[in-house]
Amino acid sequence: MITPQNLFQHELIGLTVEIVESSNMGLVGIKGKVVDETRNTIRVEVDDRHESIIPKNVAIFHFQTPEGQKVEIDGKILVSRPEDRIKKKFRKI
Amino acid sequence: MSGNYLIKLKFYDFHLQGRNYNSDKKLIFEAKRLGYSGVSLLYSKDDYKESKEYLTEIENEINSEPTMDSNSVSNPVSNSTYNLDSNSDNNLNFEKTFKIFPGIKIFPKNSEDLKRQIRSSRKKTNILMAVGGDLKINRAACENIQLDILSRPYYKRRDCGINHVLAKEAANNDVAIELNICDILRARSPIRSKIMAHFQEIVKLQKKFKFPLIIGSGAVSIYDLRRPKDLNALSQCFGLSKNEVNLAISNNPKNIVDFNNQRKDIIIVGAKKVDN
Repeated sequence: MITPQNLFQHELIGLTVEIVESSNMGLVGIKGKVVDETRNTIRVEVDDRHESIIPKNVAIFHFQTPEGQKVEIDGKILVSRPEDRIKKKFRKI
Repeated sequence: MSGNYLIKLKFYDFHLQGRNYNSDKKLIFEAKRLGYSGVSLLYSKDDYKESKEYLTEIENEINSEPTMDSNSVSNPVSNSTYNLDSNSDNNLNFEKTFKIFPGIKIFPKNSEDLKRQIRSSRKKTNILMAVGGDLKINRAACENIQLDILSRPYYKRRDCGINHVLAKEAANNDVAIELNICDILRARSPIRSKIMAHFQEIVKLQKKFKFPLIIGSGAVSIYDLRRPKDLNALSQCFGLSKNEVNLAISNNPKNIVDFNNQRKDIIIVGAKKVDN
C-alpha cells in the first residue's frame, strides 16, 4: 500500500503528480499521471494527446497517494532506477 | 543610494539561561525592553516541563501589556527597526508580539551520551542545544541532523573547537554554531583575547563553509543582556559584517524555529507531507 512514509521508495507509475518548483520555469505547473519512469526522468501524461518528460533532479514534485494525501518530494532523492530505490538508504530526520 | 532605507528586523536571543519563575520573568521583560522580538530560555531536561507551563503565563502577560510609544522617555532605546546607516535611535517601532521559545540544553559527557540525550529530548522540544568543548562531542554534534545548536565549541580549549571537517558537516546538517557573548563579558583580559581569537577562527570558517552562525548572550541575570545594536558593534571586532550579524541574530534563529515547526511533517530529508 502506498503511504506518504514509503512513497519515495515506491513505484511511481500511476500516481498523480504536479511540478511545483523547478529551475526550468517551463516545467512548473505541469500536472498529470505518471506513465513511465527512467533513472533520471519521469514521463507525465498531461492529457490524452500530450506527454511530457520531466528530469527528476531539477524539480520538486507534489505526488498524490491513492488515498488523496499529498507529499512534496525533492526530485534529487528520486534519482535512481525504481528497482534500485527499494534498497537505497535515505537520511531520516 | 547608500542608505536612508530602513531595514525591519526581528531580533532573537537564543541563549538565555532559565532558572526559576522570577529570574526568567525579569530576563524576558528586560530582553523586550532592549529590543528583542523573542528569546529562547534553555533548561535542563528535568526542569523543562514545569518551566514550559509558567513561560506561557509570562508570554501572555508580556503580550497583554500596552505597547510603548517610540518617544517614551522611560524607554528611549530599542528596537526591531533601526537605521543601519546612521545608527540613530530616532526611527523606532516596537514589536507587538513577543515570543518565548523554551528549549533544552544538554551537557553530554561523551559522543554516545550526546546521541542518547538528543534521541530522548528531540520530540519534547523545538530548540535543542548541546554544549561542546570536547572535539569528539563537537564532531558528533555537527554530524547529528537532529541537533539545532552547538554552543561554545571552544569551551576549555586552546583552539576554537571547529575545523574544516566539522564546518562542512555542520553546514550539511544545518547545525548552528553559537558564539556566546557572556564568555567575553565574564572573562579577564588574557582569556578574553583568546576567546575573541577563537571567535575570529569560527567566523573565518563560517565565511568559507556557510554553516549557520548564532550569537547568544548566555545571560543568567539582566546585567548580562545587551542590545542588538551593541552585539552588532561588538561582533564587528571579530570580523563579521553588519549583514552577517543580522543573519546571526535575526534570520538564523527564525529559520531554526520555522524548520522545527515543520519537523513533524518531514518524512526524510527531501520529502514532506503537504496539506491538501
